[in-house]
Amino acid sequence: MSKGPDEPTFRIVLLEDNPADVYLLRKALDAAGMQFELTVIENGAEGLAFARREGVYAASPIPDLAVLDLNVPKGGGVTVLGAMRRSKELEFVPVVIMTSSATPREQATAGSLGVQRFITKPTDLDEFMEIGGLLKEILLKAAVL
Amino acid sequence: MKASKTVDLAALCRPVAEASLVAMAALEGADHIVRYVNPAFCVLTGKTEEGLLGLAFSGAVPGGEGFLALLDRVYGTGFPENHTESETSTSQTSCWACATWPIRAADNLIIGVMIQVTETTAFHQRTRAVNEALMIGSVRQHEMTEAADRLNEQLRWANEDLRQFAFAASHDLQEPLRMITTYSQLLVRGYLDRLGGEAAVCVDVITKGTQQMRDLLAGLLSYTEAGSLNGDGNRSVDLNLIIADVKQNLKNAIEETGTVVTCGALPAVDGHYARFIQLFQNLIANGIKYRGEVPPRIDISAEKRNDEWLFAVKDNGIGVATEYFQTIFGVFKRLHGKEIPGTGIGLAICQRVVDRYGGRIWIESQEGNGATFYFTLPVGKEGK
Repeated sequence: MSKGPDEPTFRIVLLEDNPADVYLLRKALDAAGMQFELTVIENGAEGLAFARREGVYAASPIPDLAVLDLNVPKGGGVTVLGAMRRSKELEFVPVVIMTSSATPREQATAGSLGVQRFITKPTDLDEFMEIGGLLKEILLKAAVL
Repeated sequence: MKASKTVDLAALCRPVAEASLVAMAALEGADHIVRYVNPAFCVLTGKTEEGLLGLAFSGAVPGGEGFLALLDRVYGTGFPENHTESETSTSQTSCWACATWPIRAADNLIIGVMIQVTETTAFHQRTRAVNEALMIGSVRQHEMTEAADRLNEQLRWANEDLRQFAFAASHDLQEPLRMITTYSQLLVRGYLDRLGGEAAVCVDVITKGTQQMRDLLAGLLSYTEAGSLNGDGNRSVDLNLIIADVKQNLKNAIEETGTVVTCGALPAVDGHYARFIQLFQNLIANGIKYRGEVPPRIDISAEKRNDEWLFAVKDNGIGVATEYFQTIFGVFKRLHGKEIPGTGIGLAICQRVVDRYGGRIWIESQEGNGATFYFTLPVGKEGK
């Protein structure tokens, strides 16, 4: 797909400590033909700073979407999600959980805090690439609302 | 000095040994005549009670002569002994462990020997050794309470080790495998023309290898969960609903193979929904997987016998030869090569679930002529 000049640029925040997954997600978003600006946060502590709008995130623009891994160093994605939902500015930002494994309890907690989608990181490259289209769909739907 | 035969060993042993999952036999006198065997012993040896009673142990049980010296010692000295022996005469390497201790009459004279036999695998050795020691501990409790406490602690640690290992295996080890698979696919997509056609073959091998590793790790996790005391609550579970859910889970395989699953009215039993799904799904999936020439047919039934339910899952598949009746319940034990996919954990999970609820599981089968898996579960509070 080609990127038209009039296509909007989406701001996506990604909580992910594995650079290999960051690389794959960039490829997937590219493959979906999306203009995007990806901010990568590598650990839970920094994730909390983002969710509470502290430090470098105090004046950062509100993202269009947050993609959170649950298993990251220094606190998990669920804590970050909880802090986002308590934040006036980030309360309604769509969130997608993308994780390699999650206990049913983690899934339930994340579900109760409101997430758009729960994605288990696929092993198959093609399936991983499909995540790009999925995120685009969620972003376009949110943009209409 | 030894007592004459004045005690009915079967009557003496039955109340304590009958329900044990560990194979036990009571042997009388210097000739070690079999006077009592519990059901687990019959399952282990593949013989009936009638086929064992009254015979000398050395002749009654395959390999029984190997225990003769041990039995003589215990009968002669009165000291309990543990014994482990690797039985490598067949292609299957199995390890037998036995605990033996004297049986004394009311006058304290030795009248026979109790023998308890377990097949141990490397996976279980640590836990089983503790169990055996605990068994002796219960016989000589007054002497060994402290030791038993120590061993209990070890058992708890062993279980905790296993749980943590399985957790790490399932979560942490899966991640690098996923990376290997995805990135080798990426490599071949991006650089196939420069790498040459062989690269695709290599990536295919890598992908299949990592997939197998992932399946094994997932199986290991299921196995650990099957014995877990935690998880969702213990409650009365309607097994008819379990079968309906399992049929739904296996819908594709059932439709593709034209499998007919019939099921009589099943009871509700106490336990965990997820554990019963594991149990029935593995048995039914096996019936489909190990099918013969004709479309698979699986009949499930239940029958109340005293305080327990006896379940039967009968299939018309390729069956299992008698010599593998025990082996098939081992962890990662498989009888077939890659022509029938699988990790060899399914029946180990079934056994662990049934064990967990205090039941027994065994197979009756003729090679080429279908198999019936039997298992027992205690009658639930509502069923009493």
